[in-house]
Amino acid sequence: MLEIKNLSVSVDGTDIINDLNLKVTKGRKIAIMGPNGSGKSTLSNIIAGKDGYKVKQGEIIFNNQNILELDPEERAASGIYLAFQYPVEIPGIANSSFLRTALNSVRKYNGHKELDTRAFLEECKLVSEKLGLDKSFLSRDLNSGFSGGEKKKNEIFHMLMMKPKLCILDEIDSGLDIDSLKIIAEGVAHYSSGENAMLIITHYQRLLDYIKPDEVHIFNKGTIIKSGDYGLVETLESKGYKEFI
Amino acid sequence: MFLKEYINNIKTDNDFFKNKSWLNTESLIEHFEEKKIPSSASEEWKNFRTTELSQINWEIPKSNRENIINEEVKKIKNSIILRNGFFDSELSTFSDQDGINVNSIEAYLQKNPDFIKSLYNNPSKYAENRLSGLCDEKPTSLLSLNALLNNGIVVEIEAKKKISETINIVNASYSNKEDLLINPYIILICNDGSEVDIKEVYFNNNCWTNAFLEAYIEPSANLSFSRVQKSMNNSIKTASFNCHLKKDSKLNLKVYNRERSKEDIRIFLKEENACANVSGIVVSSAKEESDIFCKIVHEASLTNSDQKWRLLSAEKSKTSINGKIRVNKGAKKSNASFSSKSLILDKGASSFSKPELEILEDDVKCKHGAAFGEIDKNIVFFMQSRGIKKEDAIIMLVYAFINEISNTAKFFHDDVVKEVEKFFEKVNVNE
Repeated sequence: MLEIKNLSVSVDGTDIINDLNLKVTKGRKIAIMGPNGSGKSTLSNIIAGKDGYKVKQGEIIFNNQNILELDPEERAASGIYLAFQYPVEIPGIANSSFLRTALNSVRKYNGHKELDTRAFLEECKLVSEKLGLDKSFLSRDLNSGFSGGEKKKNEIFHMLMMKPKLCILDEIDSGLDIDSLKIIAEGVAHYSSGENAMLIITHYQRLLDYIKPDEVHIFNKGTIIKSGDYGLVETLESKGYKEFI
Repeated sequence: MFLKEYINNIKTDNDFFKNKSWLNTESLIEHFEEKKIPSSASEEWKNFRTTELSQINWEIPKSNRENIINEEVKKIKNSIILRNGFFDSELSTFSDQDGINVNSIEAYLQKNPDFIKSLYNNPSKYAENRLSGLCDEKPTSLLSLNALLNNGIVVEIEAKKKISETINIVNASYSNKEDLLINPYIILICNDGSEVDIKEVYFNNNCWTNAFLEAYIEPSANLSFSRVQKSMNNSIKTASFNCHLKKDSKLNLKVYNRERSKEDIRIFLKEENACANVSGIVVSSAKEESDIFCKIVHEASLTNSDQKWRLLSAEKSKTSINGKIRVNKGAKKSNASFSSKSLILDKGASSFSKPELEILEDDVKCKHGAAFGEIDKNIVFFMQSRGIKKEDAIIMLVYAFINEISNTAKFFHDDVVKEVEKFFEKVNVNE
C-alpha cells in the first residue's frame, strides 16, 4: 500500500529524514517509536503533503503512485488520513459542516455524487455514539473550546467517518486519560481491517497494548535504526531508547 | 449642470433655493467652500483617498429620469427607491402601510414645522469637538454639500407601531457617462415605542454617491438598520450615518463596506439607557481602500455601546476602522466597548485599526481591542489533509471569520454571503 524508498528530506538546509525505507502493506499495523525530535511527526507531515519540506531524493509510493507531486487534498482523496498530534481549532465552522465538506470534497475528487444529508447525519450519530461523544459535539465549532481528549476523539471520529485506506496516527494518545485512551484505541482497533493499514506514531506502550502492532520500528535522526515485533515495545519500555541509540 | 456652476448659481440667484427655504444656505455654502472636500489632513479621512473627488468637475443630475434601473433593483420587495438620489414613488414597491409615512423634507416640514430645529443646518452640528477645545468642521464638509444638493425624504414610523416586514431603502445610482455626483438625503424618525427593521442597499455605476442619513430614535423605540454596499462599478461612495437616541431606545446597526467606499458613522446616546450595537464587515481588494469612521458619544448616564468589526484585505488593498468612543461629563455608569479583527489575505494588503477613547467622566466602563492576522497555514494544511482544496479552505476560513458578525441577522447574512462570493470571484486566494 505505502512504500517509502530512499527518502531524504531537509528543511532550511537541515537534514531531517535520511535515506528512509519503509513498507506498509494492506492489513498491517505499524508502530513507529522514537525519542523527541527524531523526525516521527515530520515523517507523518511529509506523507500527508505539508509544504515547507525539500525532498532531496527518494519516492513515496501509495497504491502504485508516487504521491510526492500531489497536493495534500489529493493525497487525502486517494485514501491517506493524518490524525494530528495537535488538532487545530476553527471557530466559526461547525464540526458537522466541516466533516460534510471534507467528505464531499473527497467524493467529488473520486467521481462520486454528494452525500445524502440524512444518511450522513445518521452515520455521524452511530459513529459518535461508538466513541461516547455527546450530540452537541457535531454542532460545536470545530475543536473550538474542546478539551485535549475531545480533540483527539474528534480526530478518530473524522477518521471513522472518512474511512481512509492508510491511517497515520500522530501521537493520538498524548494527553489522554485512561478511559479516553481506551475508547480511542478501541475505535482504531475496530476500524483496522485487511482493507486498510495503520501507521501509529507514539511514545508509549499503553496505546499499543490495545492495538497490538504487527511491526515496530525505532526511529532516530530521520531514519529507522531498529525493527522488530511487539516484543521490541516491551524492551523499550524497560530499557529506554538509550539501548538503541 | 456641473458642481462649480451649481455653486455659483447658489451664490448669485436668490430664487435658487425657493423650495429649500429651511436651509441655512449661506452658512452651508461658506462651510463647503472654505473647508472643501476633506483630505488626509483630517484624522477622520486619512485612510481614504479623496484626490479624485477634488479633481473632477462633477455633474449634478437634474432628475431621476436620467437613470437606468437594473432588474435586481426592480425585484426588491417593500422598497423605497431613490433613483440618483430622487425618491421614485412609481418604482418603489413599498405601499403605504399602517404606521409608516414617507414624505419629502419639504412636505414633512409643512406638517411638522418644529422639526426644522433637528435638520442639518449648521456646520457645527456634526463637527469634531477636539479635546483641545477646537470645533473642527473640516471632516464634515461633505454633509454641507449634500444638504445643498438634494431635497431628501423623511421616513417616519408612528409611535408604538411595530413594523413586521423589513423596509428596503434602495439607493440606485447609475450613469451612462462618468462623473455624476449623486446625493441621497434620508431622514428617519422612529417615534416613541416604535420598532422597525430597515435595510439600506446601494447600487453604484459610474458615479460618486455622497449619501447622508440622519436618524432620530425617540424614547423606547427600537431601530435595526443594516447598510449593504452592493455593486460598485467605476464608482465611489462616501456615506454618512448620524443617529440620535433618546431614553431607553436602541439601535442595532450592521454595515457591509467595500472598496472605494467610506462610511462615516456618528451616534449620539443622548438620554439614559440608550443603547447602540454596531457591527460591520469591511472588505477591500485590488489597490483600493475601504474605510470606516465610527464615533459613539455617550451624553447621558447608563448608556451602552458596543462596536465589533471584521476587516478583510486582499491583494494590495487597505481596510481601516477608526472607532471612537467619547464619554461626556455626566454620562456616569456608561458602558462602551470596541473590538476589531483584521484578516490580511495577501502580502501587499494592509489593515489599520484605531480604537480611540475620550473619557471625560469617572465611574464608566470602557474597553477596546484590535487584532491582526493572516490565514494560518497550519489550519489550511489541516483542512487540506481532510480533502478540502486549498482555495476552498481559505474561503471557508474567511466565512468563519465574518460569521460572528453576519450570522446575527439572516437578511444581512444572506446579502453578505452573496457579496463575499462576488469578492472571491475576482480575488485569487490560491497564491
